[in-house]
Amino acid sequence: MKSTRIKVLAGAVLLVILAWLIANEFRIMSQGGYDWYLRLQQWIAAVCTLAIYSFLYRENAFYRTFEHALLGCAAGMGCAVILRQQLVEQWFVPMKNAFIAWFTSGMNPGVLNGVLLIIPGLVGLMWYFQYSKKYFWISRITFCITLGAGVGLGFKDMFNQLVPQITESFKPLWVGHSLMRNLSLAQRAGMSLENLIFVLGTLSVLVYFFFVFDRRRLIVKAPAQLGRWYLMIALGAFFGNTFMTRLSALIERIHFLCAEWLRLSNM
Amino acid sequence: MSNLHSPLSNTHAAAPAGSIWRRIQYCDPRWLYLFFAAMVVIFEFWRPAMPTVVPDAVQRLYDLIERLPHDKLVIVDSELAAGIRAECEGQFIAVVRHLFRRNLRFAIMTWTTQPEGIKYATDLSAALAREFGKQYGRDYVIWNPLTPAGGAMMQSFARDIPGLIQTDIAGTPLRDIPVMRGVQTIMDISLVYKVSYVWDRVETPWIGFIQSVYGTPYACGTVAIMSSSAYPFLDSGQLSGMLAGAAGAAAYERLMNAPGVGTKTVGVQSFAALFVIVAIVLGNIAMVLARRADARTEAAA
Repeated sequence: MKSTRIKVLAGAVLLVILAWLIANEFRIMSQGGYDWYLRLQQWIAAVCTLAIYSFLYRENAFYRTFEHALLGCAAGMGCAVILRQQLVEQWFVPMKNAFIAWFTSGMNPGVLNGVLLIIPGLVGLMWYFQYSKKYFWISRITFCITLGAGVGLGFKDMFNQLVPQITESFKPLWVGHSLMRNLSLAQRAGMSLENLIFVLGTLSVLVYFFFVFDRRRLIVKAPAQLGRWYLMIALGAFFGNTFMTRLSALIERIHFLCAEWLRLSNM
Repeated sequence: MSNLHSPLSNTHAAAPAGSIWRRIQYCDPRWLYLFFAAMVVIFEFWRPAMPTVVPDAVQRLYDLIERLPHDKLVIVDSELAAGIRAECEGQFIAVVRHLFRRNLRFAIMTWTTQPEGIKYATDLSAALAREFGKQYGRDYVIWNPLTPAGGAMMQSFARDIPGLIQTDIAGTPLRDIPVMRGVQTIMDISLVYKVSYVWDRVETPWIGFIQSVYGTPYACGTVAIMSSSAYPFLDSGQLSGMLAGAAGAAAYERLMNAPGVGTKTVGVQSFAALFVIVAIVLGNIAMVLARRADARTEAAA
């Protein structure tokens, strides 16, 4: 009996909200410049937003429907991007045009570049020999090329990123007058303290990840514990920043619902 | 509400009756969500003005753009997406506004993997161009979206920009666009500014293959989550500046003296963060006091 009363009450509240939404829509129409297409987009976006936030109340079919729709959209869009904008636009069309140009006006360096696109296509197709037990070895050629290129580029990337950071980590523990002539003693002391905290953090975190040494010795245990504190503070900073990002997303969605969808607050 | 089952609020089922502290500790989280949402809605109608502090990373980017030469091109690499609009839209607008204000020519780079980002970048830059009386093609250009292909693509990009990009978003060859005149290699670029939320796509293509190799100044605007990963790069000088989250956008808006999306967001954000801090402190006090009460009960028994 109690659950029936709750359902009736919830239904009545929903009806009131619906009536108010319709009245609000007429209010927006009466303001002039009503764009049907834009309003349809905003309604769809608003319903999607409310469906996703409904999970905060509890797991429900409304939420699941939109969750699956979102996953379907993402998967479909991924396929479309790969097919249309990579395989067709960046590989097939330039190669086809190059072959046509070769047969109609002859070979030149630009045409050769396009014709040579057939090679990565063939190399890529060799992946599919993984489905054959007899010719499985052919797919390994593609695997080796991909791996070799990936390792080479990855090494260059890591080297270029990390070396400047390693050299920058060599900081003076006392910023003397000869290093910073324009700064006062207090400012130089502040910089020295920053450098000390930085160097201690770098060394202690490195010690924390030396798992080959005996952790019970004080010479390893003390810096490792300090490193653990540094890591905990860093993770706390990550968590705080994560919260701020999620909060911004909520603020933006509330702004969308109030200002763009319902047109109650200022844009 | 408390007798409804939710996967997020299974603690309330075991909530024992007792002191106020115990009730706080076992409070149904949905009340917190409701209170939190109500507070954000209230701030939607009453935007508190908060003092904005300008971090060093933001000031560095602002100063860099102030010093940029007019004969080179700036690249604004935009990965705006619906999920990061709250933080990164303000960062994009603030920097593009600065570029327009200084009459610096720039190209917007977009990616096929972020189709909504292409729309955002197009709409926002068009609105700002109207505000400053700038013309597409003469003062700025939007390049044809690229498909991310890692370091190999960036190496090719650095040596021959028009050869890799080929056309603008409307299909016009880059060589026919006035703003692209004289732009051939990465040496013709004065700054790369990237707006993104994926740290891998901020660091790998531009730092690993462009900034470290050619020394092109590089700055980024990113979501607050990712900003912690960026600080070592700022310290080493690989990043010339950074706008972190809505606060970064608000700081840049303050430097530009043009309050916008960032300034609006950061006021609400500050109050909401304060609420969460109060909730955490209250929850911890409740836990300690409830434990003490339990210990006293056990001792008495």
